[in-house]
Amino acid sequence: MQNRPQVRTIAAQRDTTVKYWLVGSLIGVAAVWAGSQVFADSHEAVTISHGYTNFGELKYGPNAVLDYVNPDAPKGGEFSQWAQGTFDSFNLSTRKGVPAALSTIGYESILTSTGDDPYGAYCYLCETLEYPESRDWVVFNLRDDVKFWDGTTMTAADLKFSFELPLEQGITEYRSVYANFIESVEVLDDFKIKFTFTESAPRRDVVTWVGATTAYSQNWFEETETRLDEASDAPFLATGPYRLDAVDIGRQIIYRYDPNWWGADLRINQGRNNFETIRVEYFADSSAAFEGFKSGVYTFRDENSSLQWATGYDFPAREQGWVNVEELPNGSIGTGQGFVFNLNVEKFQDPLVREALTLMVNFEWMNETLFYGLYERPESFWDNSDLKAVGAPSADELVILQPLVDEGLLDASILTAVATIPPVSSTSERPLDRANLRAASALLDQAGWVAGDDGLRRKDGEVLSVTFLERSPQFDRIINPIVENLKRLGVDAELERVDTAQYIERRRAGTFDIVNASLGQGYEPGQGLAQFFGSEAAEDSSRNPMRFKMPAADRLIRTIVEAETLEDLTTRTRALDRVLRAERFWIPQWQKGVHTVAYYDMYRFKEVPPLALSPIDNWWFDADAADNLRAVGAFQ
Amino acid sequence: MGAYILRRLLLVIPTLLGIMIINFALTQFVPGGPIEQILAEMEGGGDVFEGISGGGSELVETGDSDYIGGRGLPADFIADLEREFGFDKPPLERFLTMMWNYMRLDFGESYFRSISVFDLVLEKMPVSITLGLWSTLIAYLISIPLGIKKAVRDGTPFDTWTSGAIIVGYAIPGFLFAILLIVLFAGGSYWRLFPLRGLTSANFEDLSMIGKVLDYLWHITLPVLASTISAFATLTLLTKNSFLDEIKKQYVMTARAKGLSESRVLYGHVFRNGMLIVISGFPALFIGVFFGGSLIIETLFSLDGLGRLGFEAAVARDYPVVFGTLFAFSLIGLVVGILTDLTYVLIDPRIDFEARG
Repeated sequence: MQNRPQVRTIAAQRDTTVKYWLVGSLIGVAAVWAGSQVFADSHEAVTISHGYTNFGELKYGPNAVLDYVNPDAPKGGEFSQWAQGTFDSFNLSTRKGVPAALSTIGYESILTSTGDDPYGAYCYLCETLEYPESRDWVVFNLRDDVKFWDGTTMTAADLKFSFELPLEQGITEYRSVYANFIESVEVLDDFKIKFTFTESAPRRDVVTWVGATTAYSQNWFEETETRLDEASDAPFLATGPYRLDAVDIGRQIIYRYDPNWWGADLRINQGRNNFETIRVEYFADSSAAFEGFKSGVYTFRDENSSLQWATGYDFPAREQGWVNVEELPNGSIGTGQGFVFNLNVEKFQDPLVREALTLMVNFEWMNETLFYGLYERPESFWDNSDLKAVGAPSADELVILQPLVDEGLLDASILTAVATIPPVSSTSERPLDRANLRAASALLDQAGWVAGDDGLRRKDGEVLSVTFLERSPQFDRIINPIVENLKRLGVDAELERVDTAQYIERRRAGTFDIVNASLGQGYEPGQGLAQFFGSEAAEDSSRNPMRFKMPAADRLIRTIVEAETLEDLTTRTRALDRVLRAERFWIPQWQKGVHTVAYYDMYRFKEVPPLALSPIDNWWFDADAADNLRAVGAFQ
Repeated sequence: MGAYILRRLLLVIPTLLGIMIINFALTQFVPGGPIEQILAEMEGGGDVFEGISGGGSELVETGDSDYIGGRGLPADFIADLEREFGFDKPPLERFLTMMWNYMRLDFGESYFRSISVFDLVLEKMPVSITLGLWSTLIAYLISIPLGIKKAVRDGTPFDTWTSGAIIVGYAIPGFLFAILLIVLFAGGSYWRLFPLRGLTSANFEDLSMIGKVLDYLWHITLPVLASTISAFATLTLLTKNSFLDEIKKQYVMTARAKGLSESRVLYGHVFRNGMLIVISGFPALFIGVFFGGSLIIETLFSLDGLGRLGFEAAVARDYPVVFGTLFAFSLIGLVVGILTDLTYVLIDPRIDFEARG
């Protein structure tokens, strides 16, 4: 779990509208808070700071301008992108209605995070925050110049109201988390609010959790009788830079920069929110949407198909030099996308079988043939970060691993072996790598699965069969070659594609062999790890579909939760990564190390921050270039 | 006749009940329900159109672990949803409540949107009527004269090549033709003559009356063309064969013998008889015009019509929409069936259903 407060700008640039329920992240927290640690000591020094971090130093000092923005960026112009499907609501906090793209663009929260500091959360609606070392409470000293769109001033009472709003109108879970985390919320004065936490609330999560509170206006909610649990035809009254300007339901949304926005002169906002308008064009069909881009209906595109990226971008507007097609660096942590085995199924409990089946996935061929060389293979649950285990264990890691080996919870090989990486195929020419086939055959023979006269492998009369359970048709072309490879190995493999509702049901019930799972973790692993790799949640967590249960992993997770320095966190996480990967319950799939974007040559940016590509946040508009493009007819 | 109509109307009740019972029972056995759909949405993977609208990626959208739920949902939350959807009650009770509501024409509210099923259907009607009305109109305006002409010129080269043309049209899948039209006439690679999506322009409200009509026609050209392409074959050949049958009959010979002109023979005598079979299909046709939906054409042109609604409701297990529309459309269908039969009587008084018992 990433404990970073939600970054408005990152959320804002997402093309797909994923419903984020206001309290969504709490659901996980709730399930694991019971096992959390208690640090109690009330006589400590109080820290007063412009920001908060669990580990180390904040990257930015007070009143800093972000490194990755151009503080002198010109203001104005229009940014346009597309979204798929349709929408009929601007409220993401309810399951009712189909939420519109960027509907949270006008919301701001007490703390904010940046695109280049994974560990820091900075005061945004506050000047400073105060907390004791125990983090039993936190006080936010709010800014007195924050205005809602209607000109009224945001006060501590508004924040208390916003924080408690889901109590009555959110899902039940919020109530129980609230009850177990929060002892009290006090409005100390108009611009001072104090949250006091219960002893059992996980200390690493609490400050950022309350800091993520979005500021809504109490007056407005009460006067308009708006409810959080009903669909809404406009965003709630808030404080952010962009307001809804025009809507054409199911087709187009325009957000416009609010010239009276309170935050325009804030140092942290310099060089950001540069566009005058943000336009979202809706298309039901992705090919039609691509045609729309070619003809300039919208002008920025974050391509998600490797096929389209490799073969689709040679249209006239690009040949004319009107469109830039670029691969931009992506420094964000890996997604950990992979296939996982259902470890409740007896045959997959044998590590030899898991290893043999893993060998039959020829990533090199897939990448060359199916993905046009665009992807790379994940190796770790913390790929692309310092938390990833590399090579043989370091001395520090050995200190952690040795006791587990001594207790018999881990095999001694973990102390000397290099961290497991997915097998490499020697050929990208053919789907089947013969060397790997031989290796896999040997492993299965060793495991007791012996090929019969019909070529199928059996053990105690049972045929070795494997079914990939899928819901996305995009995976057909990928899994079918794997199925063919497995058949060559003597495995009765097949792909079973079902609709979403059925997929979820079977995934939850555990009636499958192999499914997809994204097991990538955050920069600040903590309580959430138990949801992915903990024994307790193994039977009912959608994040642990493999039903992974391992006492050693539970122990390591506990030490990670207790880590108090970044060094400890890093070492312990690497140890866990190593242990998990050695289990081979995860067949890594692929991930993209770059952002594949195309845009009409009128947007400019200074650099792409490592954690997020967020053009709406920090790119700007080159009016002259846009005029030229319009003059030559690149778009209307 | 009155007794016959009454009997038919009464028969509608058990038929409708049967339809509802069978479908309701089926859904009890279908794996997965609306709650699973909600869980999928919370995990960022609830797009029911993924299979047909493209745009999915082999990179799985994980959402941001910051604000997406779906990490081992506590049972409380699911129990809440079950209560809200009424799944905590036994199926029989749910079925009876549902039927009682439907009988009072209360179709309830969609699980996934704060909108009543009735309004939801109403909202999708403009698209369905547009596609249905215009493609039907074009099909009839072309097919009937063409069918007559083909009947008259049976066996000539004209007959042969027109048959070839409509059969080729019939064989082209509408969605493929639609993509071709989009790429050729609406995309950025060839000619940019037509708009990519929607029924009207964004500035529709500001246009003059004539401007509005032109704007509407401009928008619907491609989708209507795509949904009509395969519609000619059946109707043209039906008309042609029906005419051929009639032309060979004795009364046509008689009409010719008494010296009537060819057009008078055709349109004064043959037309009425030849069109019987076509006209009797009118009531059913109106359903097609108003409630027709074409999932793929609607998707390609970003039109939000009944085709998409039906598909979405079925895949997302939006039971109020599924059963509400099933009930309403079955009822309309059954009534129209009766109307169709009555049309036969109207245009051919020799037909007497009552006499057949």
